[in-house]
Amino acid sequence: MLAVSFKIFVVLAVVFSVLLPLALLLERRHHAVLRERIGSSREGIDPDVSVWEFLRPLGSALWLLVAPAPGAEGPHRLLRELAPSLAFVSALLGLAMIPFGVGPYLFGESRVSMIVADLDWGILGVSVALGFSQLADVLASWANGSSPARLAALQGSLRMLAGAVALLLSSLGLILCAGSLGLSEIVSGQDSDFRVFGLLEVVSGAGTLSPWLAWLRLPAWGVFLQPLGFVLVLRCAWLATSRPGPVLHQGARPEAEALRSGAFLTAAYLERIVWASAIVALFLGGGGIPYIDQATIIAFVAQAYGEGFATGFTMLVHGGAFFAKVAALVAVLTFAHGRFEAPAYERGMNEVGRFLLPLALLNSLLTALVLVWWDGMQA
Amino acid sequence: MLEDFLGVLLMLAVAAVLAVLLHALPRRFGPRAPAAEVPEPGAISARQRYATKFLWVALFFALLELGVLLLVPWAVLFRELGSDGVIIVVVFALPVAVGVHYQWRKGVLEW
Repeated sequence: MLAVSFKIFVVLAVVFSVLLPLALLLERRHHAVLRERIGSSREGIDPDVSVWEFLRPLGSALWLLVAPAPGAEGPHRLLRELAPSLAFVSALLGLAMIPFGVGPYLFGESRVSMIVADLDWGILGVSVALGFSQLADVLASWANGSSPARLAALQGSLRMLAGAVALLLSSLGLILCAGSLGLSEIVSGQDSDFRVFGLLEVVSGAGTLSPWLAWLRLPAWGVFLQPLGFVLVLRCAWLATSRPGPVLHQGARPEAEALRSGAFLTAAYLERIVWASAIVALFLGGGGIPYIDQATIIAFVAQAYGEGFATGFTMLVHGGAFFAKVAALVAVLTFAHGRFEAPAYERGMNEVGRFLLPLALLNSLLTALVLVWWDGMQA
Repeated sequence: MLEDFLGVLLMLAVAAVLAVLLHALPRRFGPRAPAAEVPEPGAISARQRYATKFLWVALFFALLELGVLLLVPWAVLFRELGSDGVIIVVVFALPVAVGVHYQWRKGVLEW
């Protein structure tokens, strides 16, 4: 119980104190530069990014707490109250099922894993959480009662569902390789490397190629094993996180809707972080360090400081690496949203239905055929 | 196993407390907004009937979910099933692919 609570504390602390402010900061800065609207410089504030910028979201959050509370009237008051919380809660649930290290780590007899909820069906859980959070948009727009808002929410939810389904189908090749839906297993399976021309040696039957070719190795990350799957998932993440703005849920008085909009906006950024975390766990080796696996780090540090310290140190390194990768991916997604206009709903759905999903299925089928052939060769 | 679900439940509880605080604090400390909700001028009510063409979209997603329903367990048990599994999946996927192709031809995927 204590261990799980500590893990939740670590995840929430990093997400709310680093990743969320970083996403907001990048979005503000990047969009301001792109659109030549550097607002803060006109207010006499230094336009250079400083540490104080990280406190802005905190200021916004404090302001939200003293902003006028939403009106309590309307036929669907409960739904209006529930909707933002639902988006918020399901995004956080998604984070609970993603490992933020490699693991498992052994302290004597006890095994410690860096994941809040180590479920056998983790990838399904993340997919469901991402789809579920979009349901909040539909609830809010239903309660809002306006037809355009509801249509936009339905379109958004369709896009998000398509994204969640595409996440599963694009990762199918990786699931085939790992033989598990558990994200912990998928991540720990990536904590090694492979010879780039190893397959060529087996196919040609020529034995070991020249030594310098054997020296060429790549981390066994999903991105190298399933490059097409990675590209598809990245594209899905970009499509799925370009959702309609919270303005769609607003009523006639935006000043009284600040809290609701703020909660939806926070949930939207949390979703971006969940997408990035899932992609890091599936395709970028989780918290793993390229070419240096967990056992190597522990053995190296243990020579000087003992095994217990070495394991703890490795956990810290892996946790830091995981959150650094997530921050980088959140930055990539944010820049992509700023730089490229998200396709209109119709074009986005066309792309998912006609391009992404068939390619994802083809990728899984080809992976299955290669694996059957490979297993036959090994037998 | 129990501890894993404990993680989900605890995260759910923490998230719920955060969400409740987010609603409760402004009510306690913030100024009250004017009470009456005024409908947006020109807003069309959402309480109306929907065209049945949305049925096709729903069917498309049902087909996709059907595919996922088989493909995910197959991917997990792939090593045990071997080449037999691939044949089973192809046999299953063909009618689904025909269904998607029919929808495609009917213009359902032209959103």
